[in-house]
Amino acid sequence: MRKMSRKTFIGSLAALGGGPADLLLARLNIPGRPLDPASLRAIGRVVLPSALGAPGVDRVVASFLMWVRNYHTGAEVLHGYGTAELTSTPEMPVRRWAGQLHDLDEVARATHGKPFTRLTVEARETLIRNALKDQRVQVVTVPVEAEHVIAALVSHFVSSAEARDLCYGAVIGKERCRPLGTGPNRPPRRTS
Amino acid sequence: MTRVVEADICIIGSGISAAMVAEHVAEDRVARIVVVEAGGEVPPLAARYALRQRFLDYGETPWPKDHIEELTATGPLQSRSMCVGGLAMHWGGVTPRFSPEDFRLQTLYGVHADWPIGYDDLDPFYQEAEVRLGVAGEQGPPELDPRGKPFPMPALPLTYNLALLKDWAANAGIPMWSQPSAKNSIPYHGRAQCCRNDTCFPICPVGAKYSPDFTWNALRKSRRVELVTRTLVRRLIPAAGSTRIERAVGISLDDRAVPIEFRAKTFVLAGGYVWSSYLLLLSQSSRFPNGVANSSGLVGKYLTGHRNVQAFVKLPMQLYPGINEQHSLVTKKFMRPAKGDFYLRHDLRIWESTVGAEPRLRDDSGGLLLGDGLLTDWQRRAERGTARVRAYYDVLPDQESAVALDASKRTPWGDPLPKLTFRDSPASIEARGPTEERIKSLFAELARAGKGEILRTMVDAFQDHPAGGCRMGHDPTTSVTDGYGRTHDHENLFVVGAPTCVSGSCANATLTFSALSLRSAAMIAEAFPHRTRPPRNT
Repeated sequence: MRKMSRKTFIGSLAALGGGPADLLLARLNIPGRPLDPASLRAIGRVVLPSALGAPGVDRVVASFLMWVRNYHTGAEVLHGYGTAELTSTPEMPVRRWAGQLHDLDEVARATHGKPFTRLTVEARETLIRNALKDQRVQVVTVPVEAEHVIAALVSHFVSSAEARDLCYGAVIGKERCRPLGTGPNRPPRRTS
Repeated sequence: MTRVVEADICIIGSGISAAMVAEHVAEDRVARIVVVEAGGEVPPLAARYALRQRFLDYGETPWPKDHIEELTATGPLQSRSMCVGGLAMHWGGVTPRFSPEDFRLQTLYGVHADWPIGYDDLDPFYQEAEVRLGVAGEQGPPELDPRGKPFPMPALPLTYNLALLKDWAANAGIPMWSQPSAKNSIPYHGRAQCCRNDTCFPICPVGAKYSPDFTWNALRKSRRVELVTRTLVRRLIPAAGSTRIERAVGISLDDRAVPIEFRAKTFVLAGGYVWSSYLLLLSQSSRFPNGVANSSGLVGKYLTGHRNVQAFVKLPMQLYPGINEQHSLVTKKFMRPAKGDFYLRHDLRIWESTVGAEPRLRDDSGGLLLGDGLLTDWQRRAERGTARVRAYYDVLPDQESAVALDASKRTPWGDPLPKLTFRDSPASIEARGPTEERIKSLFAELARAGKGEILRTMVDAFQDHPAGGCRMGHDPTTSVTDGYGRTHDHENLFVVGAPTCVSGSCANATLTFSALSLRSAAMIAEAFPHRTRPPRNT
């Protein structure tokens, strides 16, 4: 049997949409309260660029959940130059992040009488803005350091080659293996 | 019971300097070469793509367990790496040469000390190192960048970004060219072409960047070298009634109860700027109370390196960061100082950068940026490109810039650990402020020439590419080794690479360490007969 790549696997899950895909993705999370994929997708529709479209948002969320799933606490971090210090990866704040998703849902139910995932995009954005109003949210280079799950999701996305290409409207393909090329050519325009 | 290993040449350490020596000697001479490495094996090339992905995704080291928990140092240690291949398993692969002036600082500028060798002495070994490592480079202006032979590979091509930045520098009157690098611009020595995936540091997943494991793999396959890993040499023992080193004694880190002893005709110390001096100092005895090779009292002294000033310059040009972020432009224009009021030499490099064009979740007024608002803000900030400019500048060492034994901190097996102290010479202390200001002024001129603005400037106090500790020289009272790395005190003991440097220049130094090691190797090889036919590969 042909081995399925990680990217293909995530893509297949994303393509399934809700229902069984949610259950599977939720189970991929580490023990404790899981990160709810549906909530993350509902957030993604608000906080990620619309140019991604719904499938693109689903793909980013699936990639984020896979990233969470594959995280190892206590793994040795690259030791830098100029110091003898050795460090390891911290615990991922999944409980806090899951609690933040739960809080959004609680507020949605209290203010709109329905779950967060069933609100309009506008209503979701209002709740998200309220939730982040007093938070020190920022894009972080290491998403595990994000104070809020929304910052973690956005940070995960903007660090990708896909996001870089989207920003610059060009096929840069950062950190991917690409032909060395023979001259100083401008990267081709991004078409979709 | 002690395990005894006999050899013609015992090399202690397995980093890039050791690899150069072993390869050079093994290629042409009949000699049993044993290499002793305190660390363990590194992951094979086939595993590196997955390790790189963990690094990109989570910041995990792609070289897990590449250090020895109990062997550390107090002070600004360059790296904890202690493994087969050493620090050069995760180097950036940047390979400029020092400039001819580096070797004659006292004669030309009246500062510090001359080396016992000149640039012309080292040029053939620079060439050899460039061939062995596989250096892709572009000839700079010959008066600034002299070389006896062309690079073995064409330069890494300039990206769209670097071509624009080169024009910008040219407008400011600064000639720049493609940074020579030990990265394959074409397939080379059975290794792949660079595919600019931009993790040269810390890991090249395709083998396009040279690392010493390739040399060790080839040498072990041909059975010309034996590598003994996880084995720490703790003392060098001179023979009774002689100054020749007779034995290197140590322990297996996997079975500390079993002592191990290496006997050889020639010993080569290739442990880098800390551990080479450290072993010499540790090897003290009643006959050699200051350690071996230390009649001058200078073992561990004159640690050297270079500091840097860098800035990020926003420019009115569209750049596309990510095409090849680790590749850069370089110039040697400032490595030949004009007559001035103080001694100042520095290099200059320019890279593409994303600084000042990062995506963000809050705008300048603190407003939340979500969805298309985030993207629009990011795109607006990315309309103008950013250049990273950096200058390494010469720092001349004080004698007490040193590695010493720290009796207050010991290994589990009872040895004192090293303590590092970097100290500028009085002249360098005096010049530091004006030097850094002059470099900042240069950056400001560059920014003006491109109608740009400096976003921020930083000075890094760390001395990069550290070297010294066993400096070479003609005079045994003011140096530890001769110009070939042979210790003045022990005719069969060589120190190779970084420790032998007299000064640290203002450019990445690994190629120079390699060239110095090859020059030592040529001398070491003379004691052994030539090969008359290819070795049997049975």
